[in-house]
Amino acid sequence: MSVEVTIIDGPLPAAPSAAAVVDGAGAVVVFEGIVRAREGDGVIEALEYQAYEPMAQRQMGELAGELVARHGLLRVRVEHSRGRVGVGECSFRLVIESPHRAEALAAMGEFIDRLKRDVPIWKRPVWRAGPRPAPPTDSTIAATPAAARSGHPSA
Amino acid sequence: MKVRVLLFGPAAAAVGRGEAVVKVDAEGGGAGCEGLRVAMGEQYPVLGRMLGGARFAVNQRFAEPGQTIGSGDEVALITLVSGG
Repeated sequence: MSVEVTIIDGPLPAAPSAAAVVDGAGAVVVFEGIVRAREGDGVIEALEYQAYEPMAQRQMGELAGELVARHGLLRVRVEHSRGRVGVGECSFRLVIESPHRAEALAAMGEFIDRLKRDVPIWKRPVWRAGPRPAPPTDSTIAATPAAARSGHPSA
Repeated sequence: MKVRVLLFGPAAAAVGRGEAVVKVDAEGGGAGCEGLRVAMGEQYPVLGRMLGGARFAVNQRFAEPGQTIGSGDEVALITLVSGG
């Protein structure tokens, strides 16, 4: 199967150190999104994720399929967390396999940009105990179209 | 007509539950998304400025401009997303 999309509870398990590579792949590009301790001026202990799952599943699958076709990729695997993910843990993983690196790197950037713009997944900070900081400016509810923003600081 | 709108993330937190039931004028058997947006703003003022930047999904796909919503459609309010 050239596209695999999975939404799981909690942090993603570590990727296998020697996963089987699809036949013909000369490049495997992996991105992992890790929960950082700082959110704006405050310190968090975790992020909690919520998804509109049937739509998120479909959108990520269709997006991956589009990129497979357009870039000539061999396989795209997407994993995303729901629920609580602690600092230092992984909440998102994207693995792209292709004959050469150029198409994998191009597809990687496009997938993440479009996921952050369009896929119905939301995260909420769980603040470390103590005085809470003022909400960071990029969490401010915006009156601009959703396509112009992605909502949170990110890698 | 009454439209049940699924809510997620900050919208659900603001309303205090995962859905909002909105009364909206129906023309030709359906309601338009912009009419739904206005009605939601009036009936759920707690959503405030979230509505301005939000999109509607109908049957798990983003609504097209001018799309109408029928009585059997699944509707969701998609505020600014933050996955990845």
